[in-house]
Amino acid sequence: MAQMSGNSAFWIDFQEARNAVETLVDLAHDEPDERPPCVILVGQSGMGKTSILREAQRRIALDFPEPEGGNEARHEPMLRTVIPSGSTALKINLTLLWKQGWPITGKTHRIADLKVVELLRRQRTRLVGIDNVHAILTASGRARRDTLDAFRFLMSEGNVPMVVAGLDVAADIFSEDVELAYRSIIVRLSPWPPGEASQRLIRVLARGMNLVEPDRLAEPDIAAFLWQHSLGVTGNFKRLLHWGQKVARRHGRERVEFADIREAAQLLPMHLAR
Amino acid sequence: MIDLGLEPEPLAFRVRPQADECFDSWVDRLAAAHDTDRAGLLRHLGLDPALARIDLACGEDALEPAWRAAFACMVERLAWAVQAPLAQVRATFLACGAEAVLPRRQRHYACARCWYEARRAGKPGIVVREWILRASWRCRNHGIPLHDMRRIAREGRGQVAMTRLGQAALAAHRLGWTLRALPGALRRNAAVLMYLARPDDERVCRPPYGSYQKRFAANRYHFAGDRIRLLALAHSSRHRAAGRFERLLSARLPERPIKGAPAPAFVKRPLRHRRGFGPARQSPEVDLDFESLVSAYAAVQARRETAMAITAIFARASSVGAGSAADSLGSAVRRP
Repeated sequence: MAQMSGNSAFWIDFQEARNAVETLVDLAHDEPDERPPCVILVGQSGMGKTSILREAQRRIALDFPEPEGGNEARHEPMLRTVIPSGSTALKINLTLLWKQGWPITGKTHRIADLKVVELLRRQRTRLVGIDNVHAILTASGRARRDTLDAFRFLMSEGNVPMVVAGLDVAADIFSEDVELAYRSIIVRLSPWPPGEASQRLIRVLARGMNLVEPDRLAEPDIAAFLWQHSLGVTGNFKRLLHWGQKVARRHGRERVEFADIREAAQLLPMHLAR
Repeated sequence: MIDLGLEPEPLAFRVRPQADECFDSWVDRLAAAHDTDRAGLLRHLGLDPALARIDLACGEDALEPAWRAAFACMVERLAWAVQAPLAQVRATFLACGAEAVLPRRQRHYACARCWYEARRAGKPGIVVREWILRASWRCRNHGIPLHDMRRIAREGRGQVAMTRLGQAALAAHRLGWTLRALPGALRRNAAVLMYLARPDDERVCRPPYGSYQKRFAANRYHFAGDRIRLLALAHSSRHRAAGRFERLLSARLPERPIKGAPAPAFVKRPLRHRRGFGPARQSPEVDLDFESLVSAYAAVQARRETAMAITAIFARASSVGAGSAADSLGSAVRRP
């Protein structure tokens, strides 16, 4: 699947991630609907949910180029943001307004929801992506209710489908809201199984990170160790390889050895190995 | 929000400067499109809002050195925020001295016909760089005097807005016909305006029409209620009237306080201005006020209506009969 960290961002084009991206792009191609659907993208931390959202945003921007002689409004086919801490409807709306490029002033909060909807229309937005939605579950009951109301208003008034991404627990995020629950589709990202799939992933990651002799790291013994210590999570595979590279450099080498990866594994939390 | 660590985003509406538009006009349009003021806009972009209080029309050269870095940063950030080339934003500044430009609050003169035509084409009304110069008073495209646009909205194509613009254009045409400018004066004005509004990088060996420029480049007609009319007068055959205004402004007033000078001596007022020595006030009984005038008018009106009703009833009574006429007369007189 996909992973992004700092400047070393690259898209790993595997079937499962590709399917998730296709689902989101298809959603953006749908005609505006009064009751648009909502995709809940769930998976463990580091499975590449954010990268899927980013890739979908890139693809949607390509599919919906800015029309010639358009109005002065910015062209934003997909709006993507991360849910703010201590989320409430107002905070979500202000975050979306910020992403849409609207100055936040003392009087903005009075019309924040209406302004978001207006800008969704004027900026020709076809999909709204909200990341880290599991943070809603930590909010109090009233704040949670408030946030779900904000989601419903955005989708219904803006006639825009939405994708929310978060940890596995986020799958139940709409359980309190029957209407949203009926309109939602769950896309789950499973961890990598041991064997050939994991080896393929290691090979692609090592090439993407420009490691010396990347195919050697996908050999069965190293691959088994990597899988065991990463629990099949894309981000953990990448982290191990990245730290292995650092350890090798500390020892004055560019080529990453099995011993370097073992040493790097010590840096990861012990519960991962269990 | 940038202070809170959020990544800055380009503005929601890419209101870009139009060809030859001055900086103030563009930034005000940009702020209005985002429902905020200039300081709010700068704050949103992570810039020092104090820049909103400074006159930036003449660009970097007219600024104090302490502000130059902040100014350069502002120009770059604004260009990025509206996704416009940097040169397009830089072209909004004038390269002349600050004394040749109108004060900030006075930069509301524009050509009503230009705005009318722009509005019909669905474009906003803009203030061209040349029009904020003190020497500017006439649109060179349409050949009519500029108009004070304070009361006219920049956008909107409603019937009221278009009518107001049409009326402003007519007024400007009428002023142009009344005060016909002399061809020589117009030629000098155009040459000086072109010199003052030249691009930053254009080198000119010698300013044109030295004496004209000395008189008009930094003129003070904006102290008058109607600076355009005065400038039109100054460029017409009736230029003496405008000259009188210039002499009035340039005169040294003896009562103007000077630093370190002694306090002005007490001047004894003449007897006729002192209390008790003025003309005798009229008695309130004969002093008419507005209320008594209205009530007198109402009484006269009521009397006239009664007289008309009586006349009408008598006219009808002569055809019907004497008994019924008397009855009708009673009810008509009693009617309030």
